Amino acid sequence: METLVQALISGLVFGAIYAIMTMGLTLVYGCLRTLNMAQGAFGMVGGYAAWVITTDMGAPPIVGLFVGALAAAGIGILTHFISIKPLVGRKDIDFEMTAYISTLVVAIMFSAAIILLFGARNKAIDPLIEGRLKVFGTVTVAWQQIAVAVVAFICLGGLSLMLSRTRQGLSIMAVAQQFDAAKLMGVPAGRVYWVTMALAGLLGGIAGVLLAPLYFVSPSAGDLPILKGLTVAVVAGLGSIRGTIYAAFIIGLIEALVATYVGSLWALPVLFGLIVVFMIVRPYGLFGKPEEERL
Amino acid sequence: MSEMTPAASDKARVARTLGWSKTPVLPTIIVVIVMAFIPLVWRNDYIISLLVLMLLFSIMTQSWNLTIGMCGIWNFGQLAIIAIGGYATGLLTIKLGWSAWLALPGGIVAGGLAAVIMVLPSIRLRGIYASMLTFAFAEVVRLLIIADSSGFTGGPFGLTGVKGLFDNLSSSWSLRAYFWLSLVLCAAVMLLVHRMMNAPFGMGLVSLRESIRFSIGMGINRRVQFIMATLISGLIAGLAGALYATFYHGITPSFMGLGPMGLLVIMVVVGGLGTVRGPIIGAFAVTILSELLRDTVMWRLVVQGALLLLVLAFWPAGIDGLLSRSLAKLRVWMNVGQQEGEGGPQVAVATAEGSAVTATAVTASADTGMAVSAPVEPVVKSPEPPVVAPAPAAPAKPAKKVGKFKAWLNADQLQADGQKPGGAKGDKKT
Repeated sequence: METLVQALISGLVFGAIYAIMTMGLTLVYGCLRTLNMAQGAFGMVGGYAAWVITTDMGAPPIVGLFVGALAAAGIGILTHFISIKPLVGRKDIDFEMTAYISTLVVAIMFSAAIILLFGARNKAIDPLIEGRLKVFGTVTVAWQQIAVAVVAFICLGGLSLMLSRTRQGLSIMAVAQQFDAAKLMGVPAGRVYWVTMALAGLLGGIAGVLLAPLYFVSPSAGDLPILKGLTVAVVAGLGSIRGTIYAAFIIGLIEALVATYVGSLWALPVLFGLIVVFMIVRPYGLFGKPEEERL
Repeated sequence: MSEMTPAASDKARVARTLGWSKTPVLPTIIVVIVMAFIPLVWRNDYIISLLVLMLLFSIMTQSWNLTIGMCGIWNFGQLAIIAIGGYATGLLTIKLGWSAWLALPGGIVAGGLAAVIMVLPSIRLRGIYASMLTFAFAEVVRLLIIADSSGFTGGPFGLTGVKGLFDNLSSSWSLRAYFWLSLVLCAAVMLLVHRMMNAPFGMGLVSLRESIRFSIGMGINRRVQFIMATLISGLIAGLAGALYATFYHGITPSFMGLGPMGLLVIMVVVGGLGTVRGPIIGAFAVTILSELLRDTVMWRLVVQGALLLLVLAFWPAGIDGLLSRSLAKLRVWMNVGQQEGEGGPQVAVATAEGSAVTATAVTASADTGMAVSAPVEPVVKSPEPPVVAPAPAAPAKPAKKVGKFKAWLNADQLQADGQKPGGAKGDKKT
């Protein structure tokens, strides 16, 4: 019973992190029709920025969170301008595939650049809040985990408010739904593109900083998150915001349960095996649409 | 040319006008013979081992390009297929004590089987979903090997002590023997792919890449085509993996990681996605580039990545596209004022030659193919006739499993004919 509760709690926490990670992927896919393979690298860069600001300069962890998120947003804009913008609207290429390849390569370049700047060694980073909260029996929750869940939910709420209330968010939705019509109505599509990438970077950076104390900050810190993000996005149905949230928690829970009851080495293989079966049964994910409908 | 019978030369001319280029057997043999002298002249073992690596990379990129470039299957698990070929060969030599020559076909077969198993579920999926499925397959293979602590595959440290193909030779002669073997195999693979892509089968693949609905309408059997292409690509990948494992006497799971995948992607795209020569050019160019940057190891990936971004932005057809375009320009320049009638279309086709034919060429051949090319085989044909024949077939119930499988394979054709598919239910109606 107690192990079950412990597993459920960690599953929920990881689900929250996956949700904000994957939300970046979903937004970018819905709006730009690009599967952004650099999303994991955004988190990695965010983690490094937070490490520099907190461990090197001694700022409090909360400042690290903001700086990491902003740095990752900057990297998102950079990624857009070097790898996606040159490809948009070209007739001579298959846009989805070339953008996939170019963002994948950009992610590899970022981790190589990070190794050049900081070396290949893992960096430890302080959690936002130390200590553990005792729930009952032997079940305890680290305050860090609670902080992660709270921050993640604030982000998701803020995002949904932004998308449904603000001018910028509405223009993102408009471009996602009907590109040409949005342009005709005067939505500046070029700006919407890089704003979306900045938003994706912001979310990825927050996820990266939140994950950093649980693992380490390292040049390959983005590889695992992007894999999980892709899994969540595909199970959700690419470009579906509602599906992303469901799928993130489902996958977080499955992973935690497998890790607890079978062994943590098996968590990923079992998860991927399940995903393969799921994809055969339902090729477009939980909420995906076969046709080109978005968000 | 003059000895040819009129019919034969006519056939060749029509075939060339339709964009079917002849398999360049003779030029390839000449290049192979010339290159075969390199290790005799340039007696530097390091350079030769580098050349072997380039040739192995060429075979790998060729196999990958077959699925991702030619057929447009978003296959991002090819490294796992290559590694499976390598692991199968290694395990056969270590656990069963087979000689490397016997184990090599084992690796090839393992690669082919693994590729078919991997791609079979993703035929139904569209682009990115298929990429995710194949990617996940590769990750599962990698993680399972890493998680294996029984000592069967060597776990995270990899398989060591694989027998080489030329163990009874001295090390420098073994190196040269590997060079010659992989040179011949690389050329053979290239010729095979070229021949395949300039036959009805390959044309069907390219046409499927450009428009699935159009191709099904023309009677191309999507599933058979994709499975065959994947099988051939997997066999080639298994060969590359087997050569790799025997050459380095081992293979590690890190071979399937993101880094090597990025490297192969850069090679394929820089060389030219979907072309026959592109993967070879890319493998050589990128390996030479990374060798030039040997002293600054970490800058290597940054520079290679920047190269890829530049190529994508300015020459999306890759180096091969650039070459064939400038070659075509050269031909126009040389043929100025000659044979107005014949020069025009010939040159237009020349751009598509070698690069496995752009969309326009496909549609052109498909459109005109029916009208013009009585001597040439009809451009597209389905390997088997649809299972359900129109009217007279009375006992038309394939009760056996084989019949069901055939019905599944032919489901698109049946749908195109306006009949209900037998096995597949998920496909959306066209």
